[in-house]
Amino acid sequence: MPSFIAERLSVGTFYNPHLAEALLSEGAAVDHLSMADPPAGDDALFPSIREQFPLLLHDYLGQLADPLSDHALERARNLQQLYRGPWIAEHFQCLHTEDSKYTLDYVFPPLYTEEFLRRFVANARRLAAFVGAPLVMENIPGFFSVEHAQMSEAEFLQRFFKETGCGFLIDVPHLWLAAHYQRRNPRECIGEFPLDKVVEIHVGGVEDDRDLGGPWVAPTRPTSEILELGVWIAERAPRLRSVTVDQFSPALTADVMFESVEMTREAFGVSSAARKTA
Amino acid sequence: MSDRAVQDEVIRYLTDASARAEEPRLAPISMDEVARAARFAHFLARRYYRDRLARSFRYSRRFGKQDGGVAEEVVDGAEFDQFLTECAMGSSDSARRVGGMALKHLKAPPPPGAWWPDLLDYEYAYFLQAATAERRASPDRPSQGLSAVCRRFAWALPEMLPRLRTGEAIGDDLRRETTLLFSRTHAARIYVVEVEPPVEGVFHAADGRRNVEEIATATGIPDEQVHLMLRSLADIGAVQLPA
Repeated sequence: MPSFIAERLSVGTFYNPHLAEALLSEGAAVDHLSMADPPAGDDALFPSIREQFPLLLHDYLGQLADPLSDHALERARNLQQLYRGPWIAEHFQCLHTEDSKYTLDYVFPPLYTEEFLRRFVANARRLAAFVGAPLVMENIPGFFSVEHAQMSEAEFLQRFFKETGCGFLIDVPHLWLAAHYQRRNPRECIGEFPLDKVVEIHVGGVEDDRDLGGPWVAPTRPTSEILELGVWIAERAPRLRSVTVDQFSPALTADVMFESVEMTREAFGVSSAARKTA
Repeated sequence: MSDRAVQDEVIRYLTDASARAEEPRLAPISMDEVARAARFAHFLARRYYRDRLARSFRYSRRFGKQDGGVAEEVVDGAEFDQFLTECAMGSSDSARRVGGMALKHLKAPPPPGAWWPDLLDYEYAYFLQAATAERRASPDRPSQGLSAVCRRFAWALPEMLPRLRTGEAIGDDLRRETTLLFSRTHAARIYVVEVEPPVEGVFHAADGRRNVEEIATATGIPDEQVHLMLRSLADIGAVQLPA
């Protein structure tokens, strides 16, 4: 199993099973793969993928707004034992009701309040301790305001990272969208976040959505503005280890996937190199 | 009300059109933000059903791409726009309504073979499982799962699907009556299993009005066997048993 690159930024993408064959034949273009779903039972190429690429656990482990069940914790630990990445990831999200009767089936931010901060801190600590791996947490954008927040998203994240010691997985399109819909300058907005905690950066594309009447994340090539913002963050993130192109969709083509990784390498000044095997 | 309960009201507001019509609003969303929240709700529902239609109607899409429509096109139509203003995302009623739109869309002539209606019925039943996230409280008596369905087909679907996947022709050798039970567990795992008449009978008899002994009487199967069958059906989400 290959080891995660230590001497330079690792530039990778998500594992889309329908593109496994292309990944295996053009493997040197991609340093690592993030796993959004467990490997399917009939995914015959996954064992080869695991042999060739370092893997990062980026599944839905459970929403940290609520305590994770024993089953969810066991599942997270089993997945991490399969992937053996240097960290595991979850999101600042609360997408289903406490009784599970209603679910949004999509990432959605929590209310930024003291109560939710306490919940996320306690549940994140428990998850990281149970799995036995560092936890990084990804920011999630809101599309509209809720009149209940007691602090800004940036302050919520700042305090969470300070209390837990978790790493920051900063999703650039998510922050760009938040700034866009708040009509703010993206750099000014991003500068309020704890960039010294950033371990991983997500870059990606955006496209106009008919319902939202404006841009939203899409499995397309990263825009130049997103890449420039990513580089700007990297210059301020001393703990940064990886950049991942956030594209996970059955509609994604191999061309778009490889071009996106190549654009990202170029923007961050990282050339591909042969991997080391542990 | 705790902050967690407030968040639940926001989630309900986004998933259920009836919550968006309530006065006064329970979710703390200002008048200025109501229109934006509704847009986001529509975005979520369109995305949710597009994804599940594409995954569930995946065999028929091989033909639709050449000859006409594919199931997920219905989410871009006027009927779906109207549905967005009325739906509870993830409910069993909504799944049936969207599945019905897909069937109507795909049943337009000409069919690629005599087996086409059976394939669409199979995919519709699968879609009901994929799109129903709603949960029911524990019943007093054995009841069918909210999305569970048992269907008789004139064609051997379990053998037909691999042939469709590899582009092989479907011949009359696959004309064989088959009964399939479709279900979904609380953990969102979907099952499609071929069942024999006794299991089919027990499933249909578990209508929420009969206890185990009454199901045994209705089906002519001994109590002990009914009990075991119900337990197996509950394991795959086809039946809900009293807590």
